[in-house]
Amino acid sequence: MIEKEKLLEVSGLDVFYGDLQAVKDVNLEVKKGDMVSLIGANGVGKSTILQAIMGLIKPKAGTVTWKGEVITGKATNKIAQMGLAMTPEGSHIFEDMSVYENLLLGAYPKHAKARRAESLALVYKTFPVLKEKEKQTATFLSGGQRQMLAIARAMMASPELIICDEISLGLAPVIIKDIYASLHEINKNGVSFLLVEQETKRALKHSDYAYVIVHGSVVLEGRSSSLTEEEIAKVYFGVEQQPREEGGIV
Amino acid sequence: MLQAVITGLLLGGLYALIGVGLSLIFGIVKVTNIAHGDLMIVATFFIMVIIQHIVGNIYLALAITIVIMAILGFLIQKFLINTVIDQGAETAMLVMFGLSIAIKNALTLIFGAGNNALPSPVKGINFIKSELVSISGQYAVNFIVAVVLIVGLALLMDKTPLGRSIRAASSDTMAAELMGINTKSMYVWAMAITMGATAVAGMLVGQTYSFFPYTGTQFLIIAFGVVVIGGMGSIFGTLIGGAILGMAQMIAAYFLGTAYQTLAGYVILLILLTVRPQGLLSKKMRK
Amino acid sequence: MSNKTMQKMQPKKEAMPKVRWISLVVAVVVLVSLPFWGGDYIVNIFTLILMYMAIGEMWNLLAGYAGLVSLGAQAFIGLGGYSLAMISQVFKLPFLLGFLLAAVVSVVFALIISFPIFNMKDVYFTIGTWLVAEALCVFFQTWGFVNYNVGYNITVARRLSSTSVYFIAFGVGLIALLAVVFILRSKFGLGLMAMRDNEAASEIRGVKLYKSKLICFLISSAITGVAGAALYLNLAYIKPTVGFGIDWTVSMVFITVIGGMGTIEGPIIGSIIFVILRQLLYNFSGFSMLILGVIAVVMILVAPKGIMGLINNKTGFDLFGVKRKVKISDFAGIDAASAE
Repeated sequence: MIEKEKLLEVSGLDVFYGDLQAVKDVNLEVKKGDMVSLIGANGVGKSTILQAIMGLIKPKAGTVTWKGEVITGKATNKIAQMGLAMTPEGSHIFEDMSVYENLLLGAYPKHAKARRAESLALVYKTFPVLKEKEKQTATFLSGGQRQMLAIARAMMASPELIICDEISLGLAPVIIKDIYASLHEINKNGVSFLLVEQETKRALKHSDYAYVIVHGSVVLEGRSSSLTEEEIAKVYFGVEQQPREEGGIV
Repeated sequence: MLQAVITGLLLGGLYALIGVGLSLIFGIVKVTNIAHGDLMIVATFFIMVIIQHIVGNIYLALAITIVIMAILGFLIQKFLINTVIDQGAETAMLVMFGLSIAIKNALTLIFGAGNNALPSPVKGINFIKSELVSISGQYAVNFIVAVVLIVGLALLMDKTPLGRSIRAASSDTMAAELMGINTKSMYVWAMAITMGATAVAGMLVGQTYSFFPYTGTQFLIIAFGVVVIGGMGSIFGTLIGGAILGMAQMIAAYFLGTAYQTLAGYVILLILLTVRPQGLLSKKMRK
Repeated sequence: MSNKTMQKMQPKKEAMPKVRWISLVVAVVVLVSLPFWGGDYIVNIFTLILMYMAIGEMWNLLAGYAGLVSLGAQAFIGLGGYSLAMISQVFKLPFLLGFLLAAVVSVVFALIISFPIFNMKDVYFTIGTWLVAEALCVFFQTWGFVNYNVGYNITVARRLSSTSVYFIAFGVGLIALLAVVFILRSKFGLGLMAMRDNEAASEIRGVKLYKSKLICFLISSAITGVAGAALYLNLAYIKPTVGFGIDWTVSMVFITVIGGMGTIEGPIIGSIIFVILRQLLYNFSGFSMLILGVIAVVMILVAPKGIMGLINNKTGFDLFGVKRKVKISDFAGIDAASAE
């Protein structure tokens, strides 16, 4: 098999909140076209890793490399111009702007502006509901539509990698299914994904490769097809002394 | 009485233009620019100096001053406010307070404490003169310019890509950064635009009233009034705020005499602040 | 705060009390004996420092601890000054009664305006306090009872020796300092600091927000009023635009910001620098406020915690020992204290 191009590489990442270490020596990578997931319970530092990648928080040690260039310490807005997009937890759409304006803002990076019409057509093909609600103020969208808008806004940046933080949080299973289906569709066009997901089963199902995070460290990693829920539950059990509940199936 | 209402309304236009800069910066940068009034007076003095020493035409002087003020706004935002903004709004407010003191005293040092006036092509000309009402040309010009400029600012913020990016930066800083928007440089743009508009307000104020280095405070309080009534951050709110404040003052002056005009303004504001602490017409607060 | 850093700070804290007590005793001895060995000029300088320290401490109590940034403190300086003027010039009573009146008028006025302005949050509070002071100024200009905008000569000031004025200033400064130390070392003060650092959290903890802020506001207003009377004993002439002038608050902000907001030592350092700078710049009257403004701005940019913040960072020194680290057990105490 031909080695795929390495897009994102995180090595030796340490992040502190005050004196509290949230992320400890994390190494991970995302290759071109891959869907990679970070699995772990609430509050184990998954989101922190994503934020450190995007420059939203400053890591104490370690490097983030994007297509061979070290981006640690760069401003978020600079990183966002380089072909990485992120949908933050809780969607963070621009509430008092229309759906269309939200999408236009997604195409803010220079390389994205040139391909705006193309991206918009693709977005509307992937999420027809957004076309319908084009003129509506974002704040009136339903929970699922908000997530769709957040993903669509990320697509507008013509990214090579989209980082999704907890996109299924608080959504009904049917909608989660739809959203993951669209992620796969976007993935087919060559966009890689780095997903943060609390639910092990869902994460394994929708990714090619997975990292299991416990207490800020990667404790297990492997091809998603080779990892089993039982194996992961055991890791949780070993470290946290209590089994995690794994409910909800897609 | 009719005269008072109409004069108040026209005066309100000017008030709105004085207030719109304060409102924009509060809405976008989330900082209370306590030096707003003083910066406006700086513009007035710039126009005066340019007329006296460089070009005679006041509109040409205004054009130059708009550029100077925009650059000044750029510098203030970039080197003062952006440096401290992460420490909270209060710190930034205190920085502007310090700047306000520095400006007042620098102006006094250069120009002395005495009164000054700007020439006006419409001085002494009446726009309307009848038995019922009379409207001075200056008040009419003030009103028209103010309304046009405020509508222009609203369109700029609402319709242009720059305006959209500025709004994005102010409504969700993190999301805007993730879009690739340099939010701090958006603040710089916003301040530059605001200061440009403030230069126009400065010219009209200088044509309408006599001014001196310490006048800024008086106009800051008017701006506060406008913004408190119209809602911090709302552009069109300033028009309504200005009109209400102007009319209230004129009606108070009509009934109580001009000595109580200013006091009436303060008392109305305090009552409004008490009854509606978030401003009379402020947008619903988001979460 | 983790255990590791707690341990690191322990030894420093243990060594402090001795230094603290020695410096306090030395300061008191020097200040009390000052008129007996210092010349008139020195005495006058210290009179000013003590009075400005008092109003700086009061502004700092509100802004630095209670989270109330006021730009209307000049209202109380004016009320205090006018109390002194009315008692001594109009009613021809002993001037010391002016200090009593200043305190009473200030507290009553503070209580009245607290109803509207405590409704206002954050920046609106700041604007509201300023408006109150401006309105008061305009009102005094139109009020015949206080001689319109002409004001009064305070003749008693000219009859007093500089030593008597000094001791009055000493008294005012001492009261201000004791009030702040007392407030901040009480459980109530601890609650205030918790409130400043995290309003929502401390509200859950049961700190009675409104009441705590109000008490601070009343105490601060009363002492500012008394200090206002003392200041006008020195200035000897009052009129509305000066008595209620924003420059008073400018001084308080400067003193606090330079010295270090949210520290007791801050305004002491700040007032010394302020008074000395003003003396040095006396001959360039226009320049002095300009330079003070610039210094304040630069200070916030370079050292947001003021000079005391710099000292504290380097040495961990604090003179009055009120910067206790908030522990969970202290929070339990707040609950009990505020339930009383």
